[in-house]
Formats: sequence, C-alpha cells, structure tokens
Amino acid sequence: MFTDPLGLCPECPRDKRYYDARDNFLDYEPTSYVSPNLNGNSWVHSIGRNSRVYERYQMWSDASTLGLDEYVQKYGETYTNMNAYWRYYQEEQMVNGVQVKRPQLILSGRVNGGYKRANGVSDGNGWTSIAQGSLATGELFRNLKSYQFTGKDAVRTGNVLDSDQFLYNGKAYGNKYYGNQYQGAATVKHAKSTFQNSARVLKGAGKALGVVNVAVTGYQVYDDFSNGNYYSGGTRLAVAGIAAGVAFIPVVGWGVVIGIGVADAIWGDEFYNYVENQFRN
Amino acid sequence: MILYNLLFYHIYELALRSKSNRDMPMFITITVINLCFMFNIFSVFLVLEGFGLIGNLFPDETKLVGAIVFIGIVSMYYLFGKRYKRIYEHYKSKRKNSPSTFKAIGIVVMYYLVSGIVLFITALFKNKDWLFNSL
Repeated sequence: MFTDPLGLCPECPRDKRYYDARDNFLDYEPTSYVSPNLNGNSWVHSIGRNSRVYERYQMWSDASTLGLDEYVQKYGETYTNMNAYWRYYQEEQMVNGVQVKRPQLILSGRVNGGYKRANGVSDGNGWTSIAQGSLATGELFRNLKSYQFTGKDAVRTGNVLDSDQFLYNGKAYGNKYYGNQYQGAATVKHAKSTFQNSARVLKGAGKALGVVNVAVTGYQVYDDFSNGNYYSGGTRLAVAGIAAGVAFIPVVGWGVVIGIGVADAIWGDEFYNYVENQFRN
Repeated sequence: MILYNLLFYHIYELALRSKSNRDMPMFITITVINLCFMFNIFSVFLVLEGFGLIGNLFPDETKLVGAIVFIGIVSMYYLFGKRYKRIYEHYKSKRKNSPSTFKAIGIVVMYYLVSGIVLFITALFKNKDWLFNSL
C-alpha cells in the first residue's frame, strides 16, 4: 500500500494501481516514498522506476513458485531477463526492510551467484579472484627471483638475454667477454651459463603467467556477459587495458601491474558490482 | 581487418620501444588486440541482441570454451605462420618514418576509449537503461 507519512510528495498519485504485463493487479504504488532516499532521483522518476521494480519482483516471485524453467517456457522469458529480475527482487526486499547484509554484492555481480544458488547450482566464480591473486603473486615471485639470480628485475633480465649479454653481479657484460685479470675465465663461464638458464626460465614463466592472465580475464568477461552483467564485463575489459598500458611504464611498470592485479583480486568484485549497480536502471 | 592490423602495428612499435615489453613485444600486442577485439565483438552481439535478432550467445555452460575460443581466434590469427611479423614488416615498409611515440599512443588510446564507450552504449541499449529507457 502506498504511504507517504511525511507528505513530501505532492505530485504522487495517491490511488495509483500497478499491473504487470499480463494485466494482473500488483499493488498500490508500493515504495515510491522510499526511493528518493536510496538513489537521489526525483519523485516522478522514482515512481516509474518502482513500478518496474515491483513488477519484476512479482515476476521473480511467480517464477519461484512455478519453477524457473517452467516459468521461462510458459511466458517466453529469457534466463538473462530472469537474472535481472532477481536483482529487482533483492532490491525490493531491501526497500521493504528485509535485512540484507551486503547489499552491494546482492544487488549486482553476486546476483548471479544468488540466482544460481536459488536453483541449487553452485556459484563457481570465486576461483577467478583466487587465480588473479595467484597470478599477481606469481609475477612478484618471478621478479624477486630475478633480483636474487641476476640483480635486476625480470624484464631487464629478459632484455639483457635478448641483446646477447649476460648479467654478473648486477652488471651487464657482452657474451664475448671471457674474463680478465680480476675475473677468471671459469667463473665468467659459470656466471654466463647460470644467467642464461635462469633468464630463460624467468622469461618462460613471464609468458606463461601472461597467457593465463589473459585467459582468466577473458573468462571473467565472458562470465559477466553470459550472466547479463554487461557493465561490469566492460569495466573488467577497461581495467585489463589499463593494466596492459601500465606495463609499458619503464622500471616500475611491473610493480604497478602487480598492484593492480592484487587490488583487482581483493576489491575487484566490489568495484565491478558498484559499477553494474550504478549503470543499471 | 586493416584497422586491426594498423592497430597491431602501432602497438607492436610501442612494445619495441618500451624497455618493459621489448623482450616479448608480440605477447603484449596480442593481449591488447584481444581486449580491443572483445570490446568490438561484444558490442556487435549486444546490438543484435538488443534488436532481438539473436538470442543469448553466451550460454553459461560453455563459458570456459567460449572464452578460450575468443582469445584463441585473435592469437591464432597473428601467430599462425608468424603472420605478426609479415604485418609489421608490411606497414613498416609502407612508411618512410615510423610513427612517433605520442602518435602511436594516441591512436591506441583513442581506439580503446572509443571501443569502450561504444560497448557501454550498446550495453545500455541492450538493457534498455538510461537514454534507452523509453524504447
């Protein structure tokens, strides 16, 4: 039932009724007086929005009763749309005072998880965050090992390897250097082969980490799109592009990329949920 | 394809000049091209879906395979028979001077920004959000 206890909405129709697409009576305007407090929209805007919210909420309730598959078949709905209705259902619950512990998760990205859990299918998406965190840690480990073996970061080590040089005590020498009166030939020969072996492994590890990183990002974006979270998928792509661009920064680039990877693994979901939530109606 | 090859050339050129990417220029180039390709192909799908011409092309069951296919298409195109080298040489031979770093960065950033904005607009269109609310 519509209520406006403080009388703040003079243009709100007091007796407006809402019907769904199949002309079933839903209710009087249910939540319009709450909405401006939630999103800062005008009264008029929020009324239209809430009617849709309520309609979709009702559709989800119907689907819960009937069974999702049967509902989709009966009313010609798509699973993507039903996924969106779940979002509105949760929103409606929150507006109506149902305790929701982490609304930002339930209102967007984790909706998919919630939607799947409602059907008894596990979420299965959390591993990508773990994979991302592991990749960032792997890259950090690769660079630490590089400092340990060659005295330079992994990128510099790779560049030295490609330019027919080797690093010995943090200094680059040409491959045609075989020692002098201070550095014995055997020592230099040993340093050269040790450098080449470790540099090749570090370079290979870098490539492998990069390939897995692209694959994980691709999977996450595809996952977002398959669940109808287009805005978070697009943002994920944008962040991946920024990380790729940052990799061009000399010297500190790899460190910043690791930072972005770690931040993405820890706060990524929250951030993408926020974006999805903001762009959604 | 010409647009992508041109983009590829500029990114590859930047990678060769970058101390951080010089050791694996092809790798970072394909990564960025992959991201651009995803922006563009998802935009096309969203427009078609928005008009109701196609259904959901991203089924939940095949997302792992789908993601690998998306990335594989672009990677294989450039890696097959070392095509990336031929493309780079082709565009390099067509120019007297290689593009300045600022010009190359500008082209890549502009393409990325425009692709990103287009993707968001098509997503708004598909979801009938914001400006497309009344459609």
